[in-house]
Amino acid sequence: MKKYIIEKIGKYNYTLIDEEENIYEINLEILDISYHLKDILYFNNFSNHTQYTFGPLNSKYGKNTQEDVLIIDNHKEKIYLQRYYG
Amino acid sequence: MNQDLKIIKKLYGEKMMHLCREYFPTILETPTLLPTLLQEHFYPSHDLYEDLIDNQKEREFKSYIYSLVDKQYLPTTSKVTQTPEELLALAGYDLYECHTEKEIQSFKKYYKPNEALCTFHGGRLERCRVFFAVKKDVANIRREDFPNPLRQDLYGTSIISIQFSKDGTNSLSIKNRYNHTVADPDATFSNDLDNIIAGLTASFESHYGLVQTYKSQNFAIPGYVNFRGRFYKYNYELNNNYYCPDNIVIDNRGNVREYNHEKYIVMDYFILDLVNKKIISNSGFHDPFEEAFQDITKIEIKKNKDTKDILLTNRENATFTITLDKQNRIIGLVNNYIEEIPEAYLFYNTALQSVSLPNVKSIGNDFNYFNPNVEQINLPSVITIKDNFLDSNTKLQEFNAPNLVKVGHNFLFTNGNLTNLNLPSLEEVLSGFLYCNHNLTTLNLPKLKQCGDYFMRYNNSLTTVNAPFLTKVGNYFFLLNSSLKNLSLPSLKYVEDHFLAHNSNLSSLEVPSLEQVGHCFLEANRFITKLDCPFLIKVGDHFMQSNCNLESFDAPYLNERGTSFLPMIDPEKLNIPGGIKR
Repeated sequence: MKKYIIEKIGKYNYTLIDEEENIYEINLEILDISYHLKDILYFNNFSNHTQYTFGPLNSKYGKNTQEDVLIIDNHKEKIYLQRYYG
Repeated sequence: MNQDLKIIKKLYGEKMMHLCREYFPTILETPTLLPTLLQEHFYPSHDLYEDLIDNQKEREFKSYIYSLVDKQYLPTTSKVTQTPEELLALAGYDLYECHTEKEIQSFKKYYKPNEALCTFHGGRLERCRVFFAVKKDVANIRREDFPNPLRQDLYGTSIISIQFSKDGTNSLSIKNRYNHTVADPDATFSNDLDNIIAGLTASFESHYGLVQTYKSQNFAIPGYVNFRGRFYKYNYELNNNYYCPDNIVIDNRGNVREYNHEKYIVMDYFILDLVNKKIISNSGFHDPFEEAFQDITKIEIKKNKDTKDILLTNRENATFTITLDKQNRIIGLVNNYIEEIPEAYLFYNTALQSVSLPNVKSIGNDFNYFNPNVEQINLPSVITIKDNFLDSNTKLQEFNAPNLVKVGHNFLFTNGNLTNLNLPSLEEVLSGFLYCNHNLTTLNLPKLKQCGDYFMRYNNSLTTVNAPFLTKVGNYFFLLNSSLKNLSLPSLKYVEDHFLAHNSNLSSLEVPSLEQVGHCFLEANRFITKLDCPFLIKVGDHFMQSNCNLESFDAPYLNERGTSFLPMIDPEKLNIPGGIKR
């Protein structure tokens, strides 16, 4: 998993920075979970200008697979989410 | 053959030559222009074509090259006069744009419940323009007729949701009716409208103003660095130093240096000085891998078809071998004399496939941390492994370490594919052990005494577990396992929260030594009918909260329990001191 830091939360896009200081503009939607600037995200690989939706595990919108797990580290706890498609 | 195409073939390979012939016929009418442009902007590499294809960058590449030339060379595109509705009608679809949430929800009826788009969760219009295209004969296309779904079969494409982001780029995603049942459902038709019917991209542009913008200055290929207008493929980047194939290093002071091939080998993020027999380190990161080169007396290079072996001999006449691929990335390592692997060994390497360290006894934190590709590893003598061992590995299928006693956090954290695990001496593991594994069917850890949180969190295949001496487990032990039906842990005394949570099919659990459990014990389990815990003293909140089938529960010494204790069970069935007052 790669590590990303939330640098900016815009109306449509999140700006993320990875450990190599690459900047990503991600069309990101995180359902039912609160998140903040500087929270850390762990994910396999984000691609610029791609739409991503994540939400709690075991939802009907998610697929029960480890490949699409997103971890939010809010500096207090790690929250595990799944990627939703559609 | 056109002379320019010959040059392109020589510098960039035959497939790239074909691509150029297809994409740039107008530019090729001007002699030398295209090869000149390519060389100015792309350091010659026969990998360029594959990298463009693998990253689906062909169209962006085409736009980028055209952006480099005057308008006179631009291809003339025929104007599309038909609307998207008209074009999609020719492809057999009715097109609808959704302006309200209610309109979006009206399409939900077409999807099977477990394949519903998350678009139906609500709120999508805040960030996307949403269209649905519905096949005119959708009523005749039934899910049950497609037992082996394919993304672009008739059912998968019978209803597609076409969504453009509102972030200014109009990034496109075409959603599949199977949704996550198939791979990449959000990239149906490769997210290219012209794959539905020619001209549809231009039609959305001209009639809805939905131009998918990829500005030429934003052109990028993963794994390439744009240095002063020229793209170089690189193997590694550390502290803004780029280590490229062909012995090229672009350093963080803005120098491009091609090291003499007779005297140096740039491999991974190391520069091997063949003359002075040492590593030159300029990355700003000390990888302990470099220490193996301190006493080298002899270096031999053996070239194979697609690889080369570097044989190094030290003063004590011990040897080790490094294998490099065509790009000079380290893919193989054999070291017969090293006994201790320090922290962060080959930390950034991502290409290693085979490792043999027969005398290593201890491995520090973060061994080969970022590499997903190790397929074979030989560690017959290792006794301790610290945190994040092969953390990113996904390829290893077998792991055999007969003398391993203790491992740290996140052991093979990302690996999902391990099917054979032989750790007969393992006694202790910390959190995140095989966190993502989903293929192991049998777990045999005959000496394991304790494990940390999230032990095998995602495994869904395990049917047999042998851990007779396991005494203590952390939070979320075997979370989300649905294949385990019987489990016996005869020595288990202490468990923390969410023990066996969402083990939906577990029907038999034997934990006769259990003394103390945390919150949410057997969360969401419904099938266990009998549980004997003759030494159980203390349980946390929500103990077996979902179980409604328990017929016998024996815990004569239980004296401390949390809230919501067996709420669905008749107290008469319980043998606990004082019974339960509802």
